[in-house]
Amino acid sequence: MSETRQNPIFPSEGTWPRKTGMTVPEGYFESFAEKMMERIPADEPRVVEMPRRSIWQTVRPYAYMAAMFAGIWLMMNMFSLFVPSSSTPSTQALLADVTSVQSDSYFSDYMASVSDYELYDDLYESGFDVPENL
Amino acid sequence: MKTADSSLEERLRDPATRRDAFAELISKFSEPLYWQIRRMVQNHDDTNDLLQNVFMKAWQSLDMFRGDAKLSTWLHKIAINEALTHLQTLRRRQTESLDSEESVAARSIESDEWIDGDEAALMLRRAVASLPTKQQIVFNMKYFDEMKYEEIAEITGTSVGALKTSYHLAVKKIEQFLQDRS
Repeated sequence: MSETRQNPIFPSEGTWPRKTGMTVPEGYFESFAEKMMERIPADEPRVVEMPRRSIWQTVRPYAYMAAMFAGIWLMMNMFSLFVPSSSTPSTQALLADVTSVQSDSYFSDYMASVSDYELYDDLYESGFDVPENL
Repeated sequence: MKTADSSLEERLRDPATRRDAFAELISKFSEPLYWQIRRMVQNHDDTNDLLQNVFMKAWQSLDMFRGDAKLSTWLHKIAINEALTHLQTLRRRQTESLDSEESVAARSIESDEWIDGDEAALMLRRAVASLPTKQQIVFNMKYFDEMKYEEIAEITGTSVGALKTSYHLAVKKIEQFLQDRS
């Protein structure tokens, strides 16, 4: 470090002591290797054997997935329990309604209760022109 | 005929001789690597910590050393990376505390207790520390370690032409720095 060679910074001066001006504690390099080796683990750390997987470790991801689907199914069923049953008519009830609308008696019963005036009023409200001759 | 390095490499690969060979590797390379790091981070205590990190990382990644590069090149790369990471951490802290960029290098030099009191060398340290990090690395390897450009190129992954330019610029800046302060 303290050799004297051609100075590239001040060529006119010819030489430049290439000293860093830095020092180290006495015997630092002599004792460094020994201290360093004390930090290096004695056993072989790089050969890492993968531990054998237990049955539970193998099955675990599938079990978690099954639990997740069961949870979703339960949530959907819980939701349907909270909805009032009256607002969700059964298929049979809906079918009965449709059948009644299609029957002649339904029309005659329903239409008989609506007067002509109510009918015209409804048409007038919804913007329908009533013909003059009516 | 086997070179000393290739014989060392062979013993490092053999689990039976690996530990003893690694002790030899530390003895052989601790000093050049120390100065490589010290000239970058300036401070002895930080250098000591970083040098230990370098050898720990080398030990942990010995199997990754395929022998494509020289052992010394591989170790220098680890050392430079360690020093750069350390400097980045310091710079981040400095940015957080809103200090000026120059103050970190200057503070590291001024707080270093392990100096020989040579004023010219101290001034040169300040001048080198004022350079951009890449120019510092190139200048230190060329000026102090007298490495060939080809060797530096292998360590830094930079072309020889770019290294020559970098060194030339570094010398000019140092010259200017010293002239301004003379």
